[in-house]
Amino acid sequence: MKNDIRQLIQLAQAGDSEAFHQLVAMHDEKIMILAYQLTQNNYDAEDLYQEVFIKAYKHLGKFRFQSAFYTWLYRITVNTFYNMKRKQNKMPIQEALEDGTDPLMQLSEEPNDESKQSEIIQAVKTAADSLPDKQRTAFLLKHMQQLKIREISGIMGIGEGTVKKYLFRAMEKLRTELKDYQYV
Amino acid sequence: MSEIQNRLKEQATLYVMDAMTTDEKKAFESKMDSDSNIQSYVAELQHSLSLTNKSLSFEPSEELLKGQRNLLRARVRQMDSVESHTPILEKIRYIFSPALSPRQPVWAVATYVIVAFVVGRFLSVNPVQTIQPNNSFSSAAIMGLIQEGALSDVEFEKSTDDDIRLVVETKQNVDVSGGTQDETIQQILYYLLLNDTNPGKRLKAVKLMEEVPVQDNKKLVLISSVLTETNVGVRLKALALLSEFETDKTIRDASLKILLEDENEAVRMGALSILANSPSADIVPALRVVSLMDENEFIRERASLVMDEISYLSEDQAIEARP
Repeated sequence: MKNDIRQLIQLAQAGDSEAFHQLVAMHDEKIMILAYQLTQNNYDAEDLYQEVFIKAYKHLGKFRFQSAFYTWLYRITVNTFYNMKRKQNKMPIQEALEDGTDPLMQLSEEPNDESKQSEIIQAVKTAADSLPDKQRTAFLLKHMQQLKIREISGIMGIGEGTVKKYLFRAMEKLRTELKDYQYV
Repeated sequence: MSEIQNRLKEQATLYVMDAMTTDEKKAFESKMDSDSNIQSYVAELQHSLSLTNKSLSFEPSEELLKGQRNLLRARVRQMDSVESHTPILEKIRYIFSPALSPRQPVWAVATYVIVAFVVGRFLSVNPVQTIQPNNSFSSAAIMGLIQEGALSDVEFEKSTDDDIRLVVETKQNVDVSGGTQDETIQQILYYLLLNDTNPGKRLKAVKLMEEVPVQDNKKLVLISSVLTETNVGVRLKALALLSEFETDKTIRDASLKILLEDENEAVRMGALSILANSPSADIVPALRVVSLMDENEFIRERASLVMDEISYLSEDQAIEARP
């Protein structure tokens, strides 16, 4: 597998766009998941996905095999997300869509298990959203993407000690915000 | 709980996140065994983690990924095409820009003239040759050029209802004639719509695509076009052709994106018409936003009407479902 990826990267670097698209197909699921977890809505996640791979295509020649290819893609994703967020004046349109709930489904009057669960989901999203970007990124990369501290340090361009500090602060905040919630 | 020092809390975080070495883990576990405060702190952390697992996990559908890959392909092709369309004179000017700046010594200017003469001999183009249809350039060769993104220019020579004649410029000119049923013609039209830098040609291509039978390739090309096209006229025509397809999830998703993001009112209206033809509950959140936020009053009203229609439909379905 490693050799396949290396060969595909070399072909893509030599201008073979089909090899690049094969690389995309091998890695894009994880990138889409991370993009969604970072942006918390489909529309921004799709934009982020596109930007990441366009940047990867443009700068593939600079990839020197000093890190794993997926780590390189994760790094582009995280940096592009920070840039996107910096530029983005969040439109009310996007905030309304972030909710993602269907108004037709909200007709029932009695709170049931489902509505309790969606309340928890909302609480978790709000708590995660309220974390500073770097803490949230470190948390998502460690807990949701199962990366090692060393890998996260490489992706975020910070020391391993700082990654641990971010994780601690993120967890402390989540613990405080979520301790009263229980899944039914 | 408050008695736990930050240092221990940090260790607890690393412990629950599985970020400790085996030795560190053992040492922490032995501390935890003798301290109930640490135990309950760890339990709280684990509880938070299990909540986030359920709430933040996301599995993209294969359909979503395919759609994104197609869009990416179209964008990469467009980028390559723009790059290959950079006029050679500009490239030469860029290479020689230091040489072309004023105040060059005479010997340098003389050297550049000689270099330019030698380069010019290599770059001189052979006289263009027109080859009749079905001659030395086969359909397969043209398809190959399309796949490589190597068609440098395509001119519409003549288009009637039954026959389209295109001049494809490669190293030599090639005439390609055929109807809209012809796969080569279809591929060239798709190529032109997605890659040509001239909006007039893209418009002509999309107009000719009207005669191309309804098929998946045509649908994907039209979707790519409505999502990436910069010219409003081309976007509108592509959207009109897309409305002839049965509205599936891909078309619905593309229409939603256009309805929410396109800057042109007519295009947004076209997308709303497509969505109105196939009302479904999952578009209601977006319609609600549009009914409140769209700058065009007519679009806002139409979005409200479609939303009402969907809620009537869902009420009807609920009534029918009752025993």
